[in-house]
Amino acid sequence: MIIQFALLLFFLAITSFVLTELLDELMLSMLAEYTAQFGSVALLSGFLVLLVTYLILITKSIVVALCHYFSAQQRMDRKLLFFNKHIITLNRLFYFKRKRLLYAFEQERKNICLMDNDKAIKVNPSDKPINKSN
Amino acid sequence: MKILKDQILNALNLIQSINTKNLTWQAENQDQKIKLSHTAALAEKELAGELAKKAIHLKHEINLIKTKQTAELVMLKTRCKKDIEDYEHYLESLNQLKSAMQSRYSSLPDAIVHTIHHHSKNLLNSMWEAENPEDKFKYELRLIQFITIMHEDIRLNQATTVTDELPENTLKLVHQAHTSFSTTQN
Repeated sequence: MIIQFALLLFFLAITSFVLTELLDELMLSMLAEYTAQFGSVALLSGFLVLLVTYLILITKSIVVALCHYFSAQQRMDRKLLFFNKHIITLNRLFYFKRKRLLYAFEQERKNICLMDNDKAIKVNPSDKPINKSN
Repeated sequence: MKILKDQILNALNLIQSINTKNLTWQAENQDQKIKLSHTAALAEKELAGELAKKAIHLKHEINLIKTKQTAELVMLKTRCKKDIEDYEHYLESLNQLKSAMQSRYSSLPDAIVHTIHHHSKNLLNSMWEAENPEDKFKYELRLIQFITIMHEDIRLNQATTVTDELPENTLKLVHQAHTSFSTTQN
């Protein structure tokens, strides 16, 4: 409907430009001026109508998209996706926590071994230097 | 002019007939349309219910997973602490064996005592660091055998009065271990 109206305006503009030419040929320059002005206004109005329609449609689609985004269905879908992702994250975190724990205790064991080596060197009654075994 | 007028009228008639057909079809299928919209609404409600149930189920699963993982980590920490304590006990007992060997075999050079002690510690560390249970078991058996032989040598030395002897069996075992290691290397 709006496009029809815009096309009508363009048609009017073209008609008035043709009329302007005719009037100009017939030496009716005052009328020709008015028709030329009318034609320009009609052409610009046609473009304006199309532009406003476009802006209204864009705004409408943004509002509709926002309404869909915040609708109950999509919120629920996002909630479920979040829960699934959370489960995957928990499992991954558990793997790394476990690894970290095992690494920490392994380092503690190695420290105990080194301390034992140092103790063995210190209690050694001999004056000769001993190479560290571990 | 007349031809143009006829053509415009034909076009208008065509548009009107299309509109009339569309309205007639919509009037005929009104009931079906209402039925479809009802079914769609019901299905949407059912889906919403299913999704809510799934959300509750997943929440519950998350809580279960968190509890289970916390408990597993606590158990792992306890087990690791126990392992560390066991390792310290092992080291302590190996040190005691070394001291016993040094006191029984007073003429034995320190280097040999340290070599024996070092070998036993190597076995202990290999056992602890083994990744699969078979290797762990193998090293454990070797360590037990080594400690047993050491203890046996010390006991036999205590029984005899000779103090210049060497712990033959222990040294044999160390030599065997080194030989088998160099064989596997080649």
